Amino acid sequence: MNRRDYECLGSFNILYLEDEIDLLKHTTEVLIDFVHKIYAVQTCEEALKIIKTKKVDVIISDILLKNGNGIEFLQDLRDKGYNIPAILTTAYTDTEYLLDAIKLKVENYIVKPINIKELLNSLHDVLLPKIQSREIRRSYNIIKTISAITDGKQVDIIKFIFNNLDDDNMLNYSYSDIMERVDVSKPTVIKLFKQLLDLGIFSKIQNGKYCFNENYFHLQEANL
Amino acid sequence: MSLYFKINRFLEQIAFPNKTRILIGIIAGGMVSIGFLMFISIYALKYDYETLFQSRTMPLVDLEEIKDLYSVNIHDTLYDLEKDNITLFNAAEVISLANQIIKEQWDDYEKSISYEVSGIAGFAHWWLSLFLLSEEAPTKSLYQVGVTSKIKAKMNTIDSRVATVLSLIERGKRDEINRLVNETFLEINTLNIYISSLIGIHLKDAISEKIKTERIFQTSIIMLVLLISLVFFLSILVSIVLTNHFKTLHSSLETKVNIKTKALRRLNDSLEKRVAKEVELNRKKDQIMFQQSRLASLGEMLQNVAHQWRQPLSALTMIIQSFETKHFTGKLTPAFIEERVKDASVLASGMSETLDDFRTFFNPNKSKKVFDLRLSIQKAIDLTSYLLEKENIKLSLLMQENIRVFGFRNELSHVVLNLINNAKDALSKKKVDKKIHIYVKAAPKEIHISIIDNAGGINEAVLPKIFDPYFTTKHQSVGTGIGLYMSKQIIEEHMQGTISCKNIHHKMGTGQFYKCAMFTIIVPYQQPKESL
Repeated sequence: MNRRDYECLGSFNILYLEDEIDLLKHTTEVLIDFVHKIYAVQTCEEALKIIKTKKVDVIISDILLKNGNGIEFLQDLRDKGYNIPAILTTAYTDTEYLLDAIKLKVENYIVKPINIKELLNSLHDVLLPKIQSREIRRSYNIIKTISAITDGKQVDIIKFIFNNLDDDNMLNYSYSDIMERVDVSKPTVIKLFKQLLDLGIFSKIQNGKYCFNENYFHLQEANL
Repeated sequence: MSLYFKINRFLEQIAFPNKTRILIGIIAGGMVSIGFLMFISIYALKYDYETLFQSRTMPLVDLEEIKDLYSVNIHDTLYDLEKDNITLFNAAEVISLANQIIKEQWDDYEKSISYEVSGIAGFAHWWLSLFLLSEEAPTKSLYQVGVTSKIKAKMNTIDSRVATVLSLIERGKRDEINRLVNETFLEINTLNIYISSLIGIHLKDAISEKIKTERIFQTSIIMLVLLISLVFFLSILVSIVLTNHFKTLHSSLETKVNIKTKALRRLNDSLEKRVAKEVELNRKKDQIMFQQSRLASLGEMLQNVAHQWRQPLSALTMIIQSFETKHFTGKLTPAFIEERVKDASVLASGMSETLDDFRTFFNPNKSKKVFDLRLSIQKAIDLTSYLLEKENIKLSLLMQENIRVFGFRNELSHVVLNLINNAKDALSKKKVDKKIHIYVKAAPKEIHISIIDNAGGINEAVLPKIFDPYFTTKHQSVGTGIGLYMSKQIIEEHMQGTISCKNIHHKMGTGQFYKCAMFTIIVPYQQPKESL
């Protein structure tokens, strides 16, 4: 079990709908260690109440419930405009349910008895876009902040360089081209390129042709 | 005797209807022959007694008259003429008249002599004479012919003499007359003698005729006797032959019947064996069906157990995995372990209990016992509770405590289980508020167990057939058609009760009426006296 894979789950809230009290209790006990908050409920009514009042990131629901049906419950939610991702658990492998589940864009379908790793992986898969979008937003904010407090021109040049890399991570622009496009002075460009080449982030193939060394950051990360 | 055997052998060869025909033919032929002969004889005798008398006496009368005419008229006239007592004219007249009468009489005589018998009497006469033992004498003897011709000659002589006498008298020659008259007298005497002898001959003939008639009579009698005896003998013979034949036929038929009877008896014996075999086969078939039914229930129960196991199994799996995750997150405390082990034990013992229930349910009871009816029914309900819950069916049991029944406990549970399962299947696709009610009523002598479901009842067309083996309304993969048949067998054969089904309207504890199917089991209260 890779600890880091599941750390990212720690900030999410989960709604767990399961009518069997024993299973609900034990699964909740396991999941509570990995997520931020888990709402364990036995009926659809309770579940709906939670969804209306609390922030829920993902729903885990059994299909056959004593007073209802997980699929119908999800359908109801979709109709009401809640597009919360869902994972279904079931004792059955009926394709009938499977087809309905696909139509409702259910993320995964786990056959009981639940393998906890499979469940955690599913949760990870479901939440990954959220994690990633959150990550992107944060990086974007970081860059914005850095560019605000440092020389804006250098940030513009770097933006230009990354926007114009071809598929092979090659940059086919001469200094003068860059100066023309970004509207910066030549010394700034030369200084920046010297810095990049010295650090090894870029390497010069020939005049007006540079290659981005993607491995550089990975190596740095590995050294940490 | 060899003839008898030959006839017998011959008769044996011909068919029965032909034999009777032969018998009838013989009797009829005999009767006809007898009748024919009697007819003939009577006619012959009639002829003899009536006709022959006249034909025999007439010539005699004629001859006598001729004789008289000659001796009286001619002789006396000539005598008187000789004495001249009468005139010549008168004499000639008398003599010519006498001659005329004599001629007529002679003609009559000749006619009567030559009289021939004709018609049926003649045929009868001819027919009978064929059978006469002695040869018939010639109708006219040579002697008679000679006498007749002599009489004729004498008559001619007398006529010519008389004529001569008459002519001589006319001429008056007396001497010659006397001589001629005397001669004529002699001639007449001779003629008379001849005629007398002819009469004698005729009389002799008549006597011989009479003897012949007697012979005919005797012959007829003998022939009749012979014929009757022959017919009688033949009839008796054929009757005996036929009787013998009937006897042999009867005995052969009897042997045939005996053979057939034996064959029938053999068939009967084999039939008994076959029936016994079929009954045995049927019993085996029932056993097999019982097994099949048990297997079918077993399958359903297995499904039930699977359902009942699935949840605790999930929980157990989760508990096991929780140890790993807790260890992974570093939260594996002794308290946690203790709690989880306790939970797991509870779950495991629950599963074990389910298995035990299942196992004892399908262990057939070895002997009949008095048991608590509620426990028996409750067991069936417990075993189906999960499936009922899944189908969202509410089952309620209404009964008094402490009703005790004598029999196989598990078999009754089995029947109730079957009925609940049927009700469940019927309700499964229905939109109504699904309910199953079980009522138990204790009558003084018997117990009524009614299982009612509000699934709309059973199609009236199939209602009479639902207890038949292999009858099912369910899809083949689901229903075997054995459940209700075996239920009936169990209730009727093992518990001496009855099971029936009808459609009713019932409130099912609500305000409205539902169309319901009701299965009623009636079992006798207790039969502890019955040998186990």
